[in-house]
Amino acid sequence: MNRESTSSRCPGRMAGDYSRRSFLKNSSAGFGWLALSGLLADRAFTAEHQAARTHFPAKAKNVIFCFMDGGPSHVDTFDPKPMLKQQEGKVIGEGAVSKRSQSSANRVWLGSPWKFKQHGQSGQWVSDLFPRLAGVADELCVVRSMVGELPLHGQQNLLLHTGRILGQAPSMGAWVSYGLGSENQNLPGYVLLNNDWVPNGGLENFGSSYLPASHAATMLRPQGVPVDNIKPSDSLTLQQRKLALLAEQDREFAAQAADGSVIEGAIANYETAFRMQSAVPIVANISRETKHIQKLYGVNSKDTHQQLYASQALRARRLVEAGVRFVEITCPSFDGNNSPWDQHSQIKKNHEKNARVTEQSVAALIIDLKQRGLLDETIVVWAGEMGRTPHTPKVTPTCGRDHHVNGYSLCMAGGGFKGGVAYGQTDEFGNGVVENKADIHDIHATLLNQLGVNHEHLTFRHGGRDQRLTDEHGRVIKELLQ
Amino acid sequence: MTRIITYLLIVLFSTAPMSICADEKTEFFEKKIRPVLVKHCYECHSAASDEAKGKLLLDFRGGLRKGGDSGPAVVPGKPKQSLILEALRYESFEMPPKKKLPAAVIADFEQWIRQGAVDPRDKALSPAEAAASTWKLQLAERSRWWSLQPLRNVSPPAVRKSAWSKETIDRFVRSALERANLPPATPARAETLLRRLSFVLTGLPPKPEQVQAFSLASSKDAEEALIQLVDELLASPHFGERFARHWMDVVRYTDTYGYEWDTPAKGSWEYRDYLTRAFNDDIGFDQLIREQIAGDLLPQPRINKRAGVNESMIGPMFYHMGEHRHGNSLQFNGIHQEMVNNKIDAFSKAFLAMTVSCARCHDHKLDAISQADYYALAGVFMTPRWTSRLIDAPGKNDAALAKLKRLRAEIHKRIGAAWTAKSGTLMTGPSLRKWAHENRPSLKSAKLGGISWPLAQLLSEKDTTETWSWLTTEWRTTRASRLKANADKFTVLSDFHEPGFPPGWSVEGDGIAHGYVADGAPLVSLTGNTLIDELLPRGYHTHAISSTLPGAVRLPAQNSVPGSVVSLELRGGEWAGHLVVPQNAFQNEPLTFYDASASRKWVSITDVGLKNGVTRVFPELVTASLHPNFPPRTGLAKAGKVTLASQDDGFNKRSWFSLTGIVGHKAGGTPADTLEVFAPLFEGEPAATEQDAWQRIAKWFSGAIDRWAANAATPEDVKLINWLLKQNLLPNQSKDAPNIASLVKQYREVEAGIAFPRSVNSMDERGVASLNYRLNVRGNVDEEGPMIPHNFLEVFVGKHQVAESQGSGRLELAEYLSSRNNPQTARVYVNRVWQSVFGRGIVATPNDFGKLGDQPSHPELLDWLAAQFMKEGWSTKKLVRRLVLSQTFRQSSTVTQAAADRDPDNNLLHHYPTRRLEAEAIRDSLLAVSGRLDPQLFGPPINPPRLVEDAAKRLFSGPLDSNGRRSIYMKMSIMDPPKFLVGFNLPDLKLPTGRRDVTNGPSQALALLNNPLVVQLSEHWAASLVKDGQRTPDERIRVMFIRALGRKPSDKELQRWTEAVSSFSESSKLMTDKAAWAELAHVLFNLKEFIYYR
Repeated sequence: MNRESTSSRCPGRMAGDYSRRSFLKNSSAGFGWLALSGLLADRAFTAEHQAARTHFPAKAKNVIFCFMDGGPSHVDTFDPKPMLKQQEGKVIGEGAVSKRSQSSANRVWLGSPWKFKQHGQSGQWVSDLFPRLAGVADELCVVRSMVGELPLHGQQNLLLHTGRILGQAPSMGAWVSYGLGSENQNLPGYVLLNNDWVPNGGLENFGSSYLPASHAATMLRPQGVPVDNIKPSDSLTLQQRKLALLAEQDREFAAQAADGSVIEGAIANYETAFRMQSAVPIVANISRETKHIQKLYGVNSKDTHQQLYASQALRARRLVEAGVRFVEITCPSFDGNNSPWDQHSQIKKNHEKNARVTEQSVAALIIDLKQRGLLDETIVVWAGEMGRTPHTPKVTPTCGRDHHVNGYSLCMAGGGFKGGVAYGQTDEFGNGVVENKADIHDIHATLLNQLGVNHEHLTFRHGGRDQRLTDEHGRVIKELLQ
Repeated sequence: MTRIITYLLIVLFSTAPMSICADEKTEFFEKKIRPVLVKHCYECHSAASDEAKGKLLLDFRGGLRKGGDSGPAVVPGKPKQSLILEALRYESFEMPPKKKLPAAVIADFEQWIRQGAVDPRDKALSPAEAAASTWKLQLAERSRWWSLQPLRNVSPPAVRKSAWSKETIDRFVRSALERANLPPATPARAETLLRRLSFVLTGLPPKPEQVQAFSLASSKDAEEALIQLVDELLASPHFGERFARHWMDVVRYTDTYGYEWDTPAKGSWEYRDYLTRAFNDDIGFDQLIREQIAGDLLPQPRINKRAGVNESMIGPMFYHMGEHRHGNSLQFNGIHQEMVNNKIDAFSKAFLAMTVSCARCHDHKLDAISQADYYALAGVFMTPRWTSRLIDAPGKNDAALAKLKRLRAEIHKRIGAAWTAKSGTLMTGPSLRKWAHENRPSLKSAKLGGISWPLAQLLSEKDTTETWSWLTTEWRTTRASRLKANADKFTVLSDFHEPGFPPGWSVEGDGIAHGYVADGAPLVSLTGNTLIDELLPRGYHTHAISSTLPGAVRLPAQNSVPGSVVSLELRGGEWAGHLVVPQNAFQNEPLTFYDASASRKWVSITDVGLKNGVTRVFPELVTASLHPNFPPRTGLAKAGKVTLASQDDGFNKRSWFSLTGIVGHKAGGTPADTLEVFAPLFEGEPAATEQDAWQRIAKWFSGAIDRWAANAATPEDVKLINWLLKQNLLPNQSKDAPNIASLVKQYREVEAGIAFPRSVNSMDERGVASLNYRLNVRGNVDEEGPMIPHNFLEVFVGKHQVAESQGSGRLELAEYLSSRNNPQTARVYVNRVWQSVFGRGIVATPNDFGKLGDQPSHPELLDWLAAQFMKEGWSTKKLVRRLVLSQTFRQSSTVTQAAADRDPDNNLLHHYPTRRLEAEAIRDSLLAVSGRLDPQLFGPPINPPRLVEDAAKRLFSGPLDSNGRRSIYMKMSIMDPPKFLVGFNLPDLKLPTGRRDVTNGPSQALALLNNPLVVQLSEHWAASLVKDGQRTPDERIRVMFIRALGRKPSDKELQRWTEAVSSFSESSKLMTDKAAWAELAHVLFNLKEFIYYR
């Protein structure tokens, strides 16, 4: 392992000994301290194991993170602002300008093209943009008071994923994988259901940084071979023959080598790899699902982008069922957009397209998990990296909204989160937070809390200090929890 | 030591007002109490603390006496009532919280309080004063750290087993082993040593012929054979690639700038090739330090005639590696601050193994680096412009250019003669009148200002004299009013009647050096049937001789030029354009590219308001090769209706621009045409008749031609002739003048021989004032603190001239770091080389020699090596040779039980470790062993294979085997680096990496088992094996083992592998069953022995 820091902010090194044991600990299986005892045993996860590894009893075991890349508009989705329609076209003025928003005094307010209604027994507000999510309004725990650091995609994506605007730190999926390990020895702890593109901020959004490399996201492609190199290049019998020859030869080499345990680790990887070849395609294969379930997610849609997203959402459920801790789904990008939800113009047309592509599947996930009794132990997160400005340079039929992190919305469902609530409040224009300000660190802390992990104690020694997902910040938002 | 104490005393006595004759009690405080307070208490209890804990201040007398929330900390004479003692004793509070202080120190406090708690610190300090006084004391202590000390003059220790040593370094190693009572390992076998050396020195496995030759030679004279092998490998061109890649880790090498669009980092690969050449030519590392820090400033740059480049100029590309943000700080505060943080981080880790970037927000927690140091260094790195520079060796095109100039003059002369000769028939009143009538429709719309304006008017039915008078009046009044308006509004900064630029403007490239023309230089046609394209107006035209030539005009900082707007009279094409760069954010996105089809026009660049720490905004006019942000993010390069394709890497453009006028002004608008061109026509008597009028027109034209032919054209003549050329009124076709056409042909041939320019993003501080930086309070870009003069770290004060520099100080910094006076650089570098040879450095944390890093395992050896290295001209090859010929290196990898028990981490080097190949070496081995390796060096990067492309981010896919090129030539895109390499711990491309991770995961097994590249190369190898003519499976398996593993198989292995290959084959002709041998090759590639060496 590299013992010195790779952070450009406050570099140092990973302290601690450099013994063979520490090498092993950080290498092949790559367990964190929480997971060490559980994973050394070569057996599948059980509830007692998790209890042994968490800081306190966990409410949830898994996370499905539906990443709404590009920044869906809060004032068009979960945060109704009738004032915007009333004042549409009026100049926002100096007082409404913020560094956390692409703003200037001469911009004008823009009303939402969609109507808001209250839904379910809770009366949760959801706009017409999301008819299916409105159907599960009572499951949604909306936070309307999110504040970010800079209204830029790269920074906010990295902040959302790694807790740092410059990145250079592990993704939250990697932290969860490191902290809790995988429930399934044939599958990784953190899986990314990508839709074949690299978001702003780069693949670092899904990386393990200074955590052992095995905690980086394993990417499942929407079509074709799901994972790099997972498709055996040989028939089963041929491969087994090859592996037998390999094992014989490798064991001799390990016996001669001074640092034999490292070689042993590499040999063991071939066993895991062999099993992954069959485990991954099975779990990725949604054709095993009933037609009814496929339809629920929208797999049969005529829109190819929706098909992709629906298939990935359905895979997400299969993966958490199989024991993958953290599954993330990215949105498909279309029309050469820089990022899917980034509607600086044509917000009406393209937010609708994004909604069509994603919202049915997200709602389906919640419904499907619930009917299987899995929603209690699975947290579904719906979040972009930012919201969008309640104002625009000029109101036109094709206008859009720009970057805004000075108050925006995201939501959770399941996993012990309260359904049908909306936490926090923005001002009457949705332009700033007036109540219960929350940031990404708070969300991270709260998610970890539900997984039975104290965010202040899930640490990794690096750069001369104990690093955390939440850095020096983070508060568990108790008000969101059952 | 004395110096440090003196320094400490000066500091002590200068920071606290006190009587000169310090009495004993004061002395006691200064010696025993103050240092403890500073070291253990001030972090939380001083005015400089973010918030004094318990509201207790311990940095002045009043603070102690008053105490905090819990009451007085010190009551003079009364230890029992002094809370501070309780806290120190861990009786109530537990202070300092981390660890109780030694009893003796606590006793000092008690004594001090009992004796009256004399404390000369009588004034409460401001936060800044508190920070400064604390820092000075800390600096004095921290500067005693081992790595900051001068090299010791070390003599190699005596050892009992002196015969063991081959090189001096062995004595240091053996002596440490003897002290630990551990034996070294037995020497490695010849074949093991060969494989080890081959990977360490070239990153490639040994060739089969080397295996045989070395085995034979070793059996004769092992020592001689080894020396010969080492020298052979050091001379291999692959040595340079190998050591370049090591350094590329340290400098965070990347081919793109990452972030949202992953735009190409201009010239990265030239820097990569520069490193390879430098290591192959064994350029002293001191020279490489100078070049990378200040290569653009060296008084005698290193010109590589063979490569045709100015090597020194490539060095500063070092700064540009890593991630760059697009946009600028005027839009979003923080952009340039992040970029400079990246430079400081890479610089300080690479050359000093110091973590200076830690001090962006506060003084370093442990090392001798203050927050002010960080901002002092920021001034050094931000002073120059970060922009593209040419790296072509000077004078490269001189001969061709001189020839082209001669030809151009000759063409001018001959065309001039031809036109004057025909002037009498072409430029007559009647003929022009006839022509005008024939072209009536196109002339009809002629407006005032156009050459055809008077011609069109003369075609009207009106009386000629009346028309002429009207024309004259119209012209006079318009001209007068325009002259006045121009004079009122605009200050002419240059009209280029002489070559040169206004003061403070700097230029670059042959396009400028040879681009000035007086009025009327012909632009020779490079294609088609015409002789010339047009006549050039006076001024600068980068394409005046060849549009291949590069050019840049760099304006002085905005707001330093009078007026708030500068307007430039411009034309250009093929991705020439201008950019405006606030605080070195050259990936700023408002970019202008010139549309070649547009005519010459005035372009205004208006000063922008400065804020967010932006103090300088630099406009530049550039051809494509000198544009630091070309090609920019996809879609941004637009000129007229053309958008640059995202696949276009931006190389080899015939890019050009013309600059023919510069004015400064305050308000908007641009200078108007004052219609001088009509003066010869309308000055004097009005035309009396129509005939006379047309005759006047004819004379107007022929006068221009005559003057041009006599090399005395005016700007107006140029306009007239260009108009005539456009109307086809002058003969300009090859067929019209075969003798001129042959000259044009010759011109074209010579011009075609001019190579496209080569450039890198580097630095330029010509004509730039040095910049100081404001400290950002707690690193917050929105909170600016005091101005910090540019300088190098305070801990090295007095040893260098950085602060005295008239420029950025980079040259002075480079001189200091490459001199023997700096204790860090040579140590840091030899440690890196040691690591590459032995797997781990003498200091195991090569990027951090500070308190958080490791201490050296063999400190004296490190100093001895560093001294020797400098003595031998900072030669990497000599250093490497010394290391690999040592007995230490020649050890086998067997470990005795005693060694495994007592030094399990091999700190003392009692054996050679088992090492996994780096990502590149794994892939390169696959290529080499399968016979697919293309050993060609250098060149632009090759896209890695990708399953999915993303054109918007220029993530394109290349051939599966990247044409057999070594991995170093694969494109390193920050957003999506080559996946195969990432799987085997290619470092994060954004960050300086001192030592690579070696992790071990199932995805690596999957890659070697199933990646199509590995399968394809297995088949490639098998295909050549079945043709090679081995007769038996045994024979072939032997060949394969030697090639893949550098050794012969044992009998047992032969049997095992023969059985295996038979089991893979379904054919009766095993020896020609390609598929079966491919399977066997595939297994060999999956062996641990294939990816590990020892």
